[in-house]
Amino acid sequence: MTYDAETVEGHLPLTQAVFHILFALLDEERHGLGVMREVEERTDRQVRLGPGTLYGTLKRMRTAGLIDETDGEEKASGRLRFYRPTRLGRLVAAAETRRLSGLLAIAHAKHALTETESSN
Amino acid sequence: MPAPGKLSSWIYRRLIGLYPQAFRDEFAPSLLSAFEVRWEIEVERSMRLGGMWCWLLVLRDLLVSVPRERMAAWSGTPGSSGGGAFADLTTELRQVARSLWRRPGFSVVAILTLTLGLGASTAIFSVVHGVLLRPLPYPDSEDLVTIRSTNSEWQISEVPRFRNLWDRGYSVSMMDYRDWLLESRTLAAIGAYQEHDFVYSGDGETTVRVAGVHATAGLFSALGVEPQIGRVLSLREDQLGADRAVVLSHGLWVRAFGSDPAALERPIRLDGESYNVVGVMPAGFYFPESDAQFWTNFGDEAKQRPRGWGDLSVLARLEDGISIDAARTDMSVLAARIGEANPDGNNGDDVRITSRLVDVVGETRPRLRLLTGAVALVLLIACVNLANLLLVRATERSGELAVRTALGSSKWRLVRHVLLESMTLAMTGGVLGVLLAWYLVASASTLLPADIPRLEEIRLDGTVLVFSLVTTLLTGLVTGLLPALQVGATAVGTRLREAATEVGAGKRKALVQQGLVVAEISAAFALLIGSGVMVKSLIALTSVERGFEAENVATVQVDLPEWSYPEQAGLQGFASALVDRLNSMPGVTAAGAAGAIPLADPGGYGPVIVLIDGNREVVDVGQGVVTPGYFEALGISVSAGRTFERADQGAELRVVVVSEAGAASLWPGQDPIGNQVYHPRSEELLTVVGVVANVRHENLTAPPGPHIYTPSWIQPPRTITAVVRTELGGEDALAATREAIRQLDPNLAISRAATLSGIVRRSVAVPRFQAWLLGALAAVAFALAVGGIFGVVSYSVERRTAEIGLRIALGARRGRILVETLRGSFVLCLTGLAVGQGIVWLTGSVMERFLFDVAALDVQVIVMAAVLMVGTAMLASGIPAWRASGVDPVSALRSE
Repeated sequence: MTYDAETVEGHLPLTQAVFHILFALLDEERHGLGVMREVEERTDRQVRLGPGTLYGTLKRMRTAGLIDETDGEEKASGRLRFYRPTRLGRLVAAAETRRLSGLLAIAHAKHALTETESSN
Repeated sequence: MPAPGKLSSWIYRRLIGLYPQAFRDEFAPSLLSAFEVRWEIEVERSMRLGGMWCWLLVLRDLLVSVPRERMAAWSGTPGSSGGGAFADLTTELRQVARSLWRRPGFSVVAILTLTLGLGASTAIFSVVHGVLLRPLPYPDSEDLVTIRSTNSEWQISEVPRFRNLWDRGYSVSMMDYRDWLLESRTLAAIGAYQEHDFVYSGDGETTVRVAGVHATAGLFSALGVEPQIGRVLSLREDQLGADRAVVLSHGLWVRAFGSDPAALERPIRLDGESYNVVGVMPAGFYFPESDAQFWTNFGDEAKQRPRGWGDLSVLARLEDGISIDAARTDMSVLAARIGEANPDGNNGDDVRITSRLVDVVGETRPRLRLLTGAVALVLLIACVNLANLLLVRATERSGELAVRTALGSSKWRLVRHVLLESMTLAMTGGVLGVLLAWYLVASASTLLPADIPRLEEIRLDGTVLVFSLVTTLLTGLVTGLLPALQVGATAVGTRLREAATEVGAGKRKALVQQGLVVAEISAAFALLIGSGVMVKSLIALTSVERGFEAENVATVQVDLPEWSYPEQAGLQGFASALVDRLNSMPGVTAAGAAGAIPLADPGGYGPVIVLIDGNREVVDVGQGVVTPGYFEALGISVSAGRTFERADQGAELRVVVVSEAGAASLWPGQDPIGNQVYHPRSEELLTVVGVVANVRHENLTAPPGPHIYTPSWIQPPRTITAVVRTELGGEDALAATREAIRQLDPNLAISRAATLSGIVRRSVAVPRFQAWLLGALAAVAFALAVGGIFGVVSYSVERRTAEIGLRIALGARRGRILVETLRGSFVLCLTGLAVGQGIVWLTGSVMERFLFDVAALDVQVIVMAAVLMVGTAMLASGIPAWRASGVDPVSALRSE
């Protein structure tokens, strides 16, 4: 299945929660708690997802077709669901990366960092 | 691993209940385990404080995610991956905009309807707000009151004018004012003033007339406004023998002195006297009207007038915490005491106190209420029309909506779509309406009659815009609600079936539509009747027997100043010279002069003494002072005897002319000619030589009362109006008359120059404006209502095309189908008329205050409005019905 640019760009820019969840899933499929831990580690505890935000966002991402579920092992508490990005999800992640790189290029060209470095 | 606090887990499990059912079903265990993990992490890191950190984080999470999931569940959308509910709304708004764009006809009609309704209501509200609601531009202006004298004896007077005066109160005398100033215990400050047109000579030669005010020092304390430079009038300047001092308006200071502070203590000449400029008021200050350019102290003559001479207005400020009723009680006692102490020549024995704002606004209040009601009806019709359009549209799209529902769109989503549509239309109409209102308000000064008070306060400000926004939102909600509920109430299955067969729920929808049509017709009918009686009243007013012929008469008024005409002889000399000169002008058929002319000047009123059956009786009559030629110039017909002649001046016989009503009231059943009347003002015994027709002096609505005319040489007026009947055009005659006056005395300033027909027109400016505006609103309402009927009938006929086709195929005649369709509309129409009639009946008493010689429920007007309404409604429903009855049965059946 191919996606036109409009479909992909329609998801941009990603909200903070969507961004972190999507990128946490890019290297391996994870269950909800795994996503939570991964995000916290990657961001050095700068981003801590609350339970409602985590599962609410996962649900919306699933509906939007950015991720899908794989059945994992059965546990006493119920089915443990694993999530992985769809092809659309990967395209969106790539597009978001391009978008952010573009923004970064502008910021670098304007020497945005030198200000803070000299003031430190 | 350490178990998380049992209590915390228990609480969180309860809190999960806040999420919507579907979300809980899917994620409740996951949420709980995420919470427990979170607890572990936080406690591990921060020990005891960890629990608190965890809860802070989780509470913030709940605060954000619960509403979001609730919203998603409510709208039936799973929400996009992007900005949650809002991104969703934007997408949907885009869809709504696109669908409106695709049907330009529908959208344009809907938006135009709303623009008219919302624009008109915003404009009227800005007038209502500016005139009625906005406080006067003085500090704590709600404490300001107007005080008038009144006379309790007049409460039972037989003369309507006196009863009226008793009710409203009248001007105050200087001596009464002084006593009030000294003795009142409920007033913080009190000032007297009198408006006066001054002859202003700024730099020597040029003289212009400028509106100014004579005032006491107390006026400024009452107003509580500080001067920008210098000082206001002081108590010293209220004393006898004080120098004349003047406080300038900011505008005059800028224009005449170039904002030079050195204007202070530089004298200016007013009415030929020298005045010291003592101060300048700040920009934006005005009192009592915006045309007053300066405020000066009273002259010595005015300060010494007797107690019975009331010619002042009084403004006061209530003491802190004193109610207007308390002030009334206090002042009534005071006025009664003063009245009792001065039995000879008091100016009344009681007072009338009204809030200053109410006093300024006066008669405009009920007028604006009426307009507000009319505009509300128009807005109602606009709303109903739009609701109808949306309803039809929702039905047209029922197929599409049913498919969408079947494909999983929730009911709420459809409802929301309809509401968004009506909101979008309303907002667009609202923005355009504000533009329309802005245009109307900008041209308000030319559209509104000049005697509406506080015209300068009318503007589109924040309050008006908030009103407009709220009205717009309400309009969107109200118009969308009915169709939205219709959509929402229909279950999916019904809808799909209905789309195929057009039965069932259609019945109820038709009922709703019919209700809307009835509402429209009733509102339009009420407005038609309202504007109809207004127009009829206006016609009655303009065609009433005025007693004079207004066409081809020029009138020019001048004031003869005391400094150049100190003696009565000089005044009379000027009057006769003026009349002679006017008579010699080419094209003049008659010319004269008078102290006051009908409909323009207040005119005099006072007692005369007559002998009736040997008894002296005092009778109050209207009094006019006129020169020979006045009656001829105004075309006032002579019913007996003769009018004044030049030869009467200085003759042994002192002559007087009375009106027909005057003759009837002074000498009932007698021939008035040769009878005598004592005139206390001039202390002369006058003999009646003629009787003239009754003239409506004060206004066109009041029936003419008894009136006498004394010749100008008995008491020549200081303000004199030349009246010239000519064969020239109005403007030419005015110019020629002004020129004649200038030749007599180049230093006189003209205070008014107008054709008599112009004066008559001005006297009906307010009723004309009212009739015009109400007529315009009624026309809009009528057009909208007719459009609404047409739309509904077209739609219902279209829906029945198959049925009609079948019946024609089975042999029904065309006429029969037409009659059947029309019968339905006729019933709707009659219901609407009945309700509309009810509205008129309920508001009749308000209407009647503005009507002259017409009842609010005038049968002729009601019949005409009903015929017009029914006729047009039948036409509007006849066209689609006729078209439908001519349908080809085969193609009609195939259309299903």
